[in-house]
Amino acid sequence: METYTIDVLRNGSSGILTFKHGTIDISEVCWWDQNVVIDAGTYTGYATRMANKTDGTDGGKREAIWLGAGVPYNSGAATANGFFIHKGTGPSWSEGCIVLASAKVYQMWSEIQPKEQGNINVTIRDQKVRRGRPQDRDCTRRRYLASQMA
Amino acid sequence: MLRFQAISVVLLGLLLVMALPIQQAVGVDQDDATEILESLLGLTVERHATALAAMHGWGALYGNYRSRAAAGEPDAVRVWLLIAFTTLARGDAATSEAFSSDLIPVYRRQPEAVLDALSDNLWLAPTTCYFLGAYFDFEDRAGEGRQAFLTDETQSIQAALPEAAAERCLRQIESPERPGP
Repeated sequence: METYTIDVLRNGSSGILTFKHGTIDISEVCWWDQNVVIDAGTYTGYATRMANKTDGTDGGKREAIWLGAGVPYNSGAATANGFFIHKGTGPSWSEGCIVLASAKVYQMWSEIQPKEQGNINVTIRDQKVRRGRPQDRDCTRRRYLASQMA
Repeated sequence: MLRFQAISVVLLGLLLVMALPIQQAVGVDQDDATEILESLLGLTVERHATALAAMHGWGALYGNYRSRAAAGEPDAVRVWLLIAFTTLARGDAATSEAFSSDLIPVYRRQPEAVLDALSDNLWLAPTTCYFLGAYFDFEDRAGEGRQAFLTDETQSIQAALPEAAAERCLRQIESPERPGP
């Protein structure tokens, strides 16, 4: 069975979801509820539908990627079984799920076959802040001496 | 704290329901009661063979009690609000999103049944009122309809609930804040 990869790179209150397969190349802004934040990690995802949302792009129930059972959130405060990646236009569509534009979710969801299988690796990461190299001591000293001579 | 305050009541209620013969189980299927209890306590749900089946099963359970609550079945309203409590206690994001969409429409159809359920089970009010309030911010509603709802329903809520509980409920509708564990 083929395995698919979804990468979510978070940075502050939004992130970028990346999915590449065949001719599909998605790199799209995503959001989530800031009060319920899935811990960074890799989870087994399933292309499925949400049982109680009837606004699927194809007219059926809402297309989504389920992240499996026992997903930790809020820095390990607890685990939960109901995290999905699904459509949404901003964080107000989320009580903890990751949401992005419906067309992109549908494109990604349609590409994944078969459905209802744990055939997706979903990696959630947080952007690390890159800091400049500490100033070289000798360089600092030379600049000090130069300023004294001036 | 919410979980600790209510858990003994929940357990007692569910165990009582489970202890009754099915014909006396006041509209609550025994397997459903077991599933809700297992979910609340974070146990493996035994009626489903896999985690994926359990996820779909929980969705179906929600949908069944939502439909029955919308039809005004008093027992179903109570069970559905217990599912709301369980959902928040267990941090279930997708079911929280379903309640944030569905609770106001059910309330509008069956306000007396919902308020009767809360009146008999005040410990369900924090989660129920949270989801009532969340509706007005959810999925880009941006607060639309909140003031009209409060204008229409404040008197009914105040009449149904004790003063302090009504005040807390109205505050949650006005400015919802997820009740903490």
